[in-house]
Amino acid sequence: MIEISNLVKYYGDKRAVSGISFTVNQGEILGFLGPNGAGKSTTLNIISGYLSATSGKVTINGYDILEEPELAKKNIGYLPEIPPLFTDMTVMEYLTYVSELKQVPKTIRKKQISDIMKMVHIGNVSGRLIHNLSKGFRQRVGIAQALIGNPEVLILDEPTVGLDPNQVIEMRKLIVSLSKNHTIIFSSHILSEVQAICDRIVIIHQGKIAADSPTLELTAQIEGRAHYLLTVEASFNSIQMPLRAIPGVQNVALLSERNGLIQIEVIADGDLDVRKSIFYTLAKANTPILEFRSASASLEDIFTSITSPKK
Amino acid sequence: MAKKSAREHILEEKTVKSPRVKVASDERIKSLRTMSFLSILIIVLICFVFNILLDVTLDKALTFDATSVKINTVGTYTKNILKNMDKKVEIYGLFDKNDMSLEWRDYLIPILDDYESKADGKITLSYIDPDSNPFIIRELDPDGLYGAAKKKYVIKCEDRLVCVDPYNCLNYDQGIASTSGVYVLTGNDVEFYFTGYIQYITSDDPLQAFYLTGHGETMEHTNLDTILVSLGIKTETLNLSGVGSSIPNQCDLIAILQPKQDISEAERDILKLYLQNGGKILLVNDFNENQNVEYTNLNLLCHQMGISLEAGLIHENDSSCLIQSDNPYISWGHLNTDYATEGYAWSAYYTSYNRYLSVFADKPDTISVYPLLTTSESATVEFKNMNISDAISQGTYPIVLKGVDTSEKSGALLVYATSSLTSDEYYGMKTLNDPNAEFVRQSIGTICQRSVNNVQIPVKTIPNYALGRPLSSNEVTMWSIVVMTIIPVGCLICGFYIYKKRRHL
Amino acid sequence: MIAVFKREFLSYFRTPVGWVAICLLGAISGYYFSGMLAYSMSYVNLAMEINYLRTFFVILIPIITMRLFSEEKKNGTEVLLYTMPYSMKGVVIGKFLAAFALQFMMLISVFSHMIITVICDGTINMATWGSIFGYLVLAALFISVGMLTSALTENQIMSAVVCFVIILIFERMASIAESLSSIFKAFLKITNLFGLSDASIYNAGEAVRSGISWLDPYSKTSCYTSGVFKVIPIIYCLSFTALFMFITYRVLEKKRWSPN
Repeated sequence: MIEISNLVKYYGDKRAVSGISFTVNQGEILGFLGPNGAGKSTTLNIISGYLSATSGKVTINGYDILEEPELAKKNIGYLPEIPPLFTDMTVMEYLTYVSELKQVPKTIRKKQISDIMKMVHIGNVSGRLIHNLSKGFRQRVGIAQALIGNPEVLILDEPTVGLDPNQVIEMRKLIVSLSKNHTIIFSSHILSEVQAICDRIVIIHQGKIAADSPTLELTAQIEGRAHYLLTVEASFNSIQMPLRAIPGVQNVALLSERNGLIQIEVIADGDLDVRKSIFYTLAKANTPILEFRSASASLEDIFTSITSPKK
Repeated sequence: MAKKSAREHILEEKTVKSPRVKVASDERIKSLRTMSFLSILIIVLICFVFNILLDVTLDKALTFDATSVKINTVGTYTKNILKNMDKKVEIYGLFDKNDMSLEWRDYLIPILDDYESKADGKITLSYIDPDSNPFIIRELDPDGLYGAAKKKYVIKCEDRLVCVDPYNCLNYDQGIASTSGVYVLTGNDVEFYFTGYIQYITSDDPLQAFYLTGHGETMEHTNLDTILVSLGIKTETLNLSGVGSSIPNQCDLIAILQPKQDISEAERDILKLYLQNGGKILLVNDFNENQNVEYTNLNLLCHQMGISLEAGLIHENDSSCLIQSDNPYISWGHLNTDYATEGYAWSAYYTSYNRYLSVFADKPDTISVYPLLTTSESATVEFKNMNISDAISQGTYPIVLKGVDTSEKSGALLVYATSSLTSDEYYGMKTLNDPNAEFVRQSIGTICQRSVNNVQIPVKTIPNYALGRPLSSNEVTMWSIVVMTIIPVGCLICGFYIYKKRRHL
Repeated sequence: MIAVFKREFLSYFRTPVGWVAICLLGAISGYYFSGMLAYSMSYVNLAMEINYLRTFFVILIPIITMRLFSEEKKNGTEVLLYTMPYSMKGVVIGKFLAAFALQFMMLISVFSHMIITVICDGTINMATWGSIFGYLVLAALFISVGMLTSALTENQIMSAVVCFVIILIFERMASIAESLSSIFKAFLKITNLFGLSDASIYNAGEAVRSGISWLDPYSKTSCYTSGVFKVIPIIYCLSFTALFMFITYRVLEKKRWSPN
């Protein structure tokens, strides 16, 4: 159970984080979302105890991280953006070192390490030098390190960055399986990922919280607007007015033009399904539709949609 | 209607700068920073103060000598001396205490610190470098009498002074020194010398010496006076020629300087009795202006101590011993190291117009006669009124003889056959900073027991670092190879091997 | 703390650093030792050899301490240390002990010389052990200095250079004291600041000189080579070692809340 209230962090004159407050409940997977430079890593660093905030309070399971750091940190496993790996050690040596650091009792040390290695599927590279591992494996070793000591809270900072699609899927499966026994804070700047795994989403932007709600609600908000991308053979002026006239269509924008083909973006209300109307309108205008697809909501759109009032 | 694109929206947000929450956060960082600085500063100060205090107060107390021969601490004998000492002694080291080039520093500096700490404040030890403080030598030794110089120690008590050369306190292996020119220390006599000197310098009331008068003796003897004072001997004149005169109760030495007449029988008897009762006499009698004087009674007195004054002039034939190449009567006298033992720093002394002395054939059995200063092996004697061709055979002749009564009375007679050891004319030429003065001090000091010979401190052996058996050059090469190659190169190979192996794990 | 110590110590030997350090000291001391053997009378005094080795702290210590903290900063592993459920104190002590243990291992060559000396019927006495003791105490002091410079920067070379300079200053303390005191005396004389007499100027200068040279740990610990066991220099060196370790700890803690 993590409680964060009014976190502020200044790097000199630069304000990185201001007035962040949210709570993570037991057993939840919290998705921490935001573009690069929004303050995600800073916040996570503060929660894990690496940095200390300029002002504000963080409590882990009731222990304040400044007042009782030892008790608070005992419950945290942290995987930072750059996994803290010693390249001159083998995987086994490294994990043993971390478990010694975390003061895991000697008797269960070995078993715990082998269990964790099985869980993250790094058992077959346990004797290899970390220096010689690929990015995917390194990331997994990083997660393994966070898991050592079986902490209640896992804080994972962009764990899927740089992984190939297969590895990403693996990672997500792992996180979901972990969520059964742990509370997880999971940060990313890929919406779909967050959408897929998390129970709750916190959106952070320019150091402030832009949204904090369960996934389903947010999805609903996002899906409150529909986005369509079309490639048609026509001139923009000829189709603009007819499209705008369709009820539910909020905006038609020209994205690009080439060789007589234009790419347009149609934004409409989420409640109505305007796809059929678009088809008929364009057909009436004798405009061939070469491509018609739903575009995923971009992060900017989320912000705009969240922060601006509903139409 | 035109809706602002999301991009513009965000751009707009960016330009609105929110006012900095200055007060709270800045304060906190500032206070953290000041607290951090302060804590470091305070701890640094505490560290310094603590160390300085400890150093000043407990330094001596917390020094333990771990060597097996206790080279750096004083023994029980010295501790007793220091405990019973009732006068204040100042010891000056005339050099820079931190000068690392002095070879003997390890053997002297720690143990002298120990002297100071065990003396309970009665000894003050200070190191003053004459190079930076040039007036110190003049202050301590204004007449240059004691030979105070840089890199020596000076021990001072009231008006008495002793100068110690550290090299004298250390014994070197003579064999190694002569064969390979390397000085290997074998023994450490520092405690012996310093305790002895301290004992000497704080010893009891001054001795009383009397210059005999009435026979045309030299009345100008200020230099000899100074030398005697430096030995703790006060001087006065004594005339024994009157009827009923006797030797005063405290008379530790009678000096007869260059008498121009013989003494009377009565005087002779008084002096004989004096000698028999353990008295000491210094007789200076050369063969120059008094060549025609017959010293019958004086000679009889001397016979009692086994010495005979002859009417002969020593003629030095060894040209290397002549001081002036054309005058065979002014020569260097050689120290006889068989009998003139410790304390004599020089081996040759200026002598002139030496009277021929001989050992009296019928001397009493309890008397032993020692030559302290002699000529070279090729000296002869010129007797008055004798032809040179009838001169005695060439040989070694004494210039200074000491006759000692070896029975418990221990009387002594010291005869200087030259005046250059004591005359003001000589010291006027040379100053008291001359080997002759040192000889006088040593010889008189010995017979008056103002010397350091009765100190019971054994020599401290210095660990000998030479290898038990000398190594042949093959062995040396072998060990060199082992030491210089095997270990370093072995390590390197090990290191790279391990590194290589791990790289491919 | 033990975990940190173990890892650091073993990593000295997994990378060439530790081996090179032992090799260097082995080569230098071996050179000196064979020089002693080659003398005609084979006058082998190990206390002198160990004293000679002390002058090489200037190079050896920076080499082994430069990577203590700088490396962690550079490859991002210091996060581990900061997020562990205990304070940085243990970390500082653990790393210090690792470097010190390495220094101890470097003495292997000296120990082998002692064995050779005994084989050849030489003398090993309190002076030898005393000088090893003095060497180790001095090493502890300099290692703590090196650790501090390593914690201050993430660039290993920078840390090595600063450590080098500091140890050099300590080594040359005597001559520095000398020059400073003469400058001070000259200054007083020229400006005639308080109208002091020559003797007082001299005394003031001497006070400056003895004050500064009191700081010199080399001269303080030289007593052990003659077999005299003084407690005060140990306290001096250890208290300053502890001081530097404390400052290191503070510097590390500072990172958390400092603005950059």
